[in-house]
Amino acid sequence: MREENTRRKEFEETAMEHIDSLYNMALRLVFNKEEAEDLVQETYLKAYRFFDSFQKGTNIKAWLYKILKNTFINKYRKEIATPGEILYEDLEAINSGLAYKQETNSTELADTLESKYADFSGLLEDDVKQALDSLPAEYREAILLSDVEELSYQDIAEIANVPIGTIKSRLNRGRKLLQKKLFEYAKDKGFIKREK
Amino acid sequence: MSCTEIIKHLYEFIDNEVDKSNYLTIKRHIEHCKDCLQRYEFEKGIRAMIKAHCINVTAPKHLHHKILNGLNSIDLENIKQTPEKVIPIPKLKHKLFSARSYAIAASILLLIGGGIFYYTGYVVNTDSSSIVDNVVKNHVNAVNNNLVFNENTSVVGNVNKYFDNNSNRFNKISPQVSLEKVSVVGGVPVNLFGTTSPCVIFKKGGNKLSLQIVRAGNFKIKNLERTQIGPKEFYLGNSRGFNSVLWVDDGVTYCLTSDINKNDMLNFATTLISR
Repeated sequence: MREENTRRKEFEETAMEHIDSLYNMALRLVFNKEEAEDLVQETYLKAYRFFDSFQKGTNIKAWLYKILKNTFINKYRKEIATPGEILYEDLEAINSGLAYKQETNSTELADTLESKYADFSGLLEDDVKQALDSLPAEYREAILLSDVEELSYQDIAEIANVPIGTIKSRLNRGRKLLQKKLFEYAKDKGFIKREK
Repeated sequence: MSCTEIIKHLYEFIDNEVDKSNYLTIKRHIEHCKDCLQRYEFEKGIRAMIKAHCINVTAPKHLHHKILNGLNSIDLENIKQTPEKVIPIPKLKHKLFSARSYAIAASILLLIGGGIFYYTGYVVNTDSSSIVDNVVKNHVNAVNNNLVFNENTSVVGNVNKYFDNNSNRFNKISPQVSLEKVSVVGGVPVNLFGTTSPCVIFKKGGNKLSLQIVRAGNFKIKNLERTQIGPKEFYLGNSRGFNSVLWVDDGVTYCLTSDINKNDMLNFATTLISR
């Protein structure tokens, strides 16, 4: 009995504070409040059942994300396994160096940097979320875990179940894609005037 | 390091993931190079903006409560579990079957080779698509959690232990299914003592198929795609990539669900009925 109590207390103290982060992540996975709630609830109950397997001293947030992610995959496995994805990932790995060079060498990007930055500040929360949601799921995941949750590459790689190199390249491409999207929104809203 | 190389490592630098040996070099370069500094600040700015816009989501209060309640049930279940491990099935059950139906049951068990898993799943909604949706959710839940309930542990109390806390859908009060109606599903004994709506899972060549009894009063499966095999009518549903085959037997609606193709499922369904 007493053993149970301390375990319960420890779980509540360490895990429950991450509920907002988990809910946020779940929302960006399923785009639906009810399903996100279900997902978070299931994650917590599973985590509690397997709390003994959590290695103390490691990042509990990362551990909870991993459970969330697995629960999500199990629930929606059929929907995620789109055939295009694997091909994309392969291409990404092979061409990452090349694509990167082309992107960084492109003068268009460098020229507009300053104006882009200044004008992004006019974007609203909805714009940013919409831009994020329009990214391929694995890019969105990497960006959220890194930019918002500030997890290490190692933790993100474990959650995504891919090598660290893949996370680096997802962040690289994902962030560029996101900037492009944000740039488009800003342009549509008239913050950025395109020179003719 | 050239500017190109600096930019190449910029994300890692901002993420605090750059090698220690490179850290100072990059830091110094950025401090002294106008272009790279501008780029660095741009990236930092975007990141701050994304974080600012994404961080103000709070989980609803009721979710917090729901989770704590769930934890309570898990605690309770752990306490209960310690003294009594397996609740034996009452002897009475055996009298319900003749020797012949036992032989059939045994041969089927051998045939499907996977053992039987039972759990309760009660479908509340009466709309045909949500019935299929719920049935698929039950299916996924049972298959993914790899629940193995053998004949001794498939007693309702035991089964509910696994499902009660997993998701609210299983907390709904199910109607009692009449014993005669569920005791034999096309020859397969699905007699759950004192149970409500039962489900059986078949393993068939690496695939898992679940057979659930859908009890929801007068719902409209007739909206679903219909097909006829011999004298029997089947209804086909699809949700989240899973196929469902539904039919009515003796006033009870059965639903077979799996991710294998429709025709294989129809074939399997007909074998269940013809027995």
